[in-house]
Amino acid sequence: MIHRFAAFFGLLWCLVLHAHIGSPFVLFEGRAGAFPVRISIREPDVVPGLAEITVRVLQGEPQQITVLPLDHNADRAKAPRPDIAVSTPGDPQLYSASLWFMRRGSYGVEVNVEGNGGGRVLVPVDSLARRQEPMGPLLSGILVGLGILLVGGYISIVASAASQSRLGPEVTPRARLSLRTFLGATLATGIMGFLLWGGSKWWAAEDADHQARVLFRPLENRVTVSNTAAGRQILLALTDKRSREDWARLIPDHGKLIHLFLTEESNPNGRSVGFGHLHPQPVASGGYQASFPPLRPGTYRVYADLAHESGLTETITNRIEVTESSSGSWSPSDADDSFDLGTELKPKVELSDGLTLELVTAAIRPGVPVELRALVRNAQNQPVPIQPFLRMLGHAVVERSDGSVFAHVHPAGTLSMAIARRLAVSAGGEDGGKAADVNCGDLSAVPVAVAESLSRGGEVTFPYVFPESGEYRIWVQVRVDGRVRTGAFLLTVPASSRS
Amino acid sequence: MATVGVLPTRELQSVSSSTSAPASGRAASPVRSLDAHIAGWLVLGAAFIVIGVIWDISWHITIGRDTFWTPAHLMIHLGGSLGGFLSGFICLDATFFRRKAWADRVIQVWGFRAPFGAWICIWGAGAMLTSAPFDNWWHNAYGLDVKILSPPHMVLAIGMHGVVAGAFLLASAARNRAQERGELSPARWYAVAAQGVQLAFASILISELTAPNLQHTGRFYIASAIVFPALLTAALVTHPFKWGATRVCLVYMALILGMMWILPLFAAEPKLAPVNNRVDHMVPSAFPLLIIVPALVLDLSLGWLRNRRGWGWTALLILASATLFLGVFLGVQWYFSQFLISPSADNWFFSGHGRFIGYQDHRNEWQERFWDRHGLLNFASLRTAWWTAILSSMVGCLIGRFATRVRR
Repeated sequence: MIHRFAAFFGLLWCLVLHAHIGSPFVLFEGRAGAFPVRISIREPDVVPGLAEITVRVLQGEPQQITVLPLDHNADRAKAPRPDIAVSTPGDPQLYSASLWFMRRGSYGVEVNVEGNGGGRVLVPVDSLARRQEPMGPLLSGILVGLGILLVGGYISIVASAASQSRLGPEVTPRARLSLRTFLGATLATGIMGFLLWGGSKWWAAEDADHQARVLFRPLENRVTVSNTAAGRQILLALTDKRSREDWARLIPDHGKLIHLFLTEESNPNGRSVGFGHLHPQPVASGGYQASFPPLRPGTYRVYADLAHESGLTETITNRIEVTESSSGSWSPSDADDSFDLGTELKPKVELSDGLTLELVTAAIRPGVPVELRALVRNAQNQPVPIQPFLRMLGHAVVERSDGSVFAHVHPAGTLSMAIARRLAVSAGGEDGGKAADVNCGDLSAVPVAVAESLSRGGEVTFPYVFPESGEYRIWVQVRVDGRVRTGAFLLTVPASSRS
Repeated sequence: MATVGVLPTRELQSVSSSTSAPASGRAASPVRSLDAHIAGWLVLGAAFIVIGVIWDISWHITIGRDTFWTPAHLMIHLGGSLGGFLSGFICLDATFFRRKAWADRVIQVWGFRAPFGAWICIWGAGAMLTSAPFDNWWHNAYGLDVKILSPPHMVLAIGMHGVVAGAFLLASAARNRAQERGELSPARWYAVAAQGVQLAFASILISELTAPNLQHTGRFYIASAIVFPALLTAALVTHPFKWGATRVCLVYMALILGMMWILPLFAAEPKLAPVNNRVDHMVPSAFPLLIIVPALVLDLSLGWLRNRRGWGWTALLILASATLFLGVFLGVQWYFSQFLISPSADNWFFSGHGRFIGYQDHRNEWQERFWDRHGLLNFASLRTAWWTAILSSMVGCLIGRFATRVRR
């Protein structure tokens, strides 16, 4: 009995925690009609789960803001009535709402800013069971305690009832040991034992089903670096059989099928950290291959950003050991591939040609959107025009030093532009797609004059939400004078006073 | 035949006139019929729980989005609290305050005193409370469980059932003691009502298997054979009057039909995506199962058998009750379900033809067809249902007989 009971509650302790690389926040900064907005959506960790949405209106006063969950095809016919986002007391420009995502898959959250010049914007988010919350010792202690009380109470009640419940009025009730008490206790123990045994079997089956069918697992992959006639190559193979299913087909995100990042794992005393940003191409033998840059020997984390046909996005991870130094010059397999051997991690980085790259932020709090401002200056501390790199004004990579958080950030935020475009096309045709490109900061979609005016200030901002406190490594990449320049920074996010 | 139904009352009356003189002395105490009245309130609490659950299910398939504070949830909490607090009151009163006055109707557990029914109610309320943090954690670990049957919901359901069963036992004990004194207590009706509520509750628990479009499947008849013969056989043997099972089924019908007719009068709309069925009112449950027909047949044909003791008679009662239930229920529900999924039932009275389908499911030609064609009733599933019905009937007979003898 005790064993059954222990087995039932023992399940509380052996639940698996699946960490989610990347941040649970999807951030978008752009326009809803004429209103500049910054939208932050905290994706739920479970399905069905509740997504928390905040909308900061950066300029203007809207009449009302509504939010609406749409499926991956932006099918309005199946949408409920939109929810009204509530303005925050003391901060009237900040609106918040929460939406339930009931099914697994890709959703589009439509934010409608109403007012003079108002408009809508669709932000793609994933609804996936990314994490299984373990039961803490306090809760499991409480539940085990209550469970013991319930089981013990039931057996005692039935045992007492067996001997006392049919007694006549003249008898004083008192606990007595008799055959009836024994039979009652045996019956109750049998019933409770059966319930606990059945319950634990059921729970185990539900848990196994959840692990196998519901809980999100990134695609399994293999990364190898090998020397070939064409030089040293890195090959990413998607070994997961799910990668051959229709939903998993890859679609290019701002022009590239895969964005693969390499970050050097060890970072003793803030020494320089190697970094690579590659775009592997499919090869006939299977997998995706790129020329490996001449990084120092060491252990490197591999992050590959994928956007799927289904509207889902994921970052798959791996680790490689580079054992030998590269010899000879590097000829990248993709003209936009880049790498950086790193410099000492500090707030202002000296680039070549007398340029500097500085990272400026306001006070950072976990869970609160913040702007990472990167300033490019020449030797005279004058702003230097930035040229489009991969259609964007700039790219940033945020990595928690322990590798538990990774994000590829653009001036429009952390959303996948490919999926935003796909959603917008579903909702509003090709014109909608073009509008989404513009709104996501795709400089190839805006008139040249506009693109030039944007780049002239020598500044690029990246909105981001640090999900938790800790030490973060940040790489900012911009193209200046036709060359991609990479600056590496180290930021410490303090624990929030509220958390 | 007509006198058979009142035999136990007469028998008990004669017994009471000779043996319960001390009880009449105590009967003048202020708690003389308090437990009977409290049993009535407990039945009301149990009815609140069942009404709340029906309301909550409708809420989930109409509106979708809910919080802890929806009226349906509050109704369930109110019902559970009523059961827990009233039974707790009895326990404290009988243990610490009016110890002597309660002495003839309580059992002692861990030094505390309360009637058996009140103990079961307290236990049920405790299980309901326990399920709350468990369910909350479940939502965070596995996602919101939008289904009736999940482990934490089962803990809740067992707790709810504790409140219902406790109300039934408390009413039965009060009725039995009144009978021994030769009195007629309202508790005899509370016991009927409690069983009706219990029947409604059981039917809701298995309702994921009992949609009209599933009523040709083997699983439907097996699930029905698990729960209904126990309740009908218990109803048949426990009440000191004729038509016990039928009366219990009338309470069940009234509860389900009442909610089925009232809920659609209220406008509501889905608040979750995707909306596959754009409903504009609270979606009702399906028409109650016609258990009342087998109940009527059991009351009519087995009334003579219900008070006969001895292994042989009891075995005959169990076998006949299970077989009659399954046979009559199969005959009635098989054809009635054909009507319920047809356009003829597409009206407020029968709530058929897919009217019970919520926002998340499509209403299309499938609402006129039977689902799960691979799981249709066959000889094997019918045989399983029959055996199950016999076991269920046996449990019901034991509980029903016990309830005729419980005094505390």
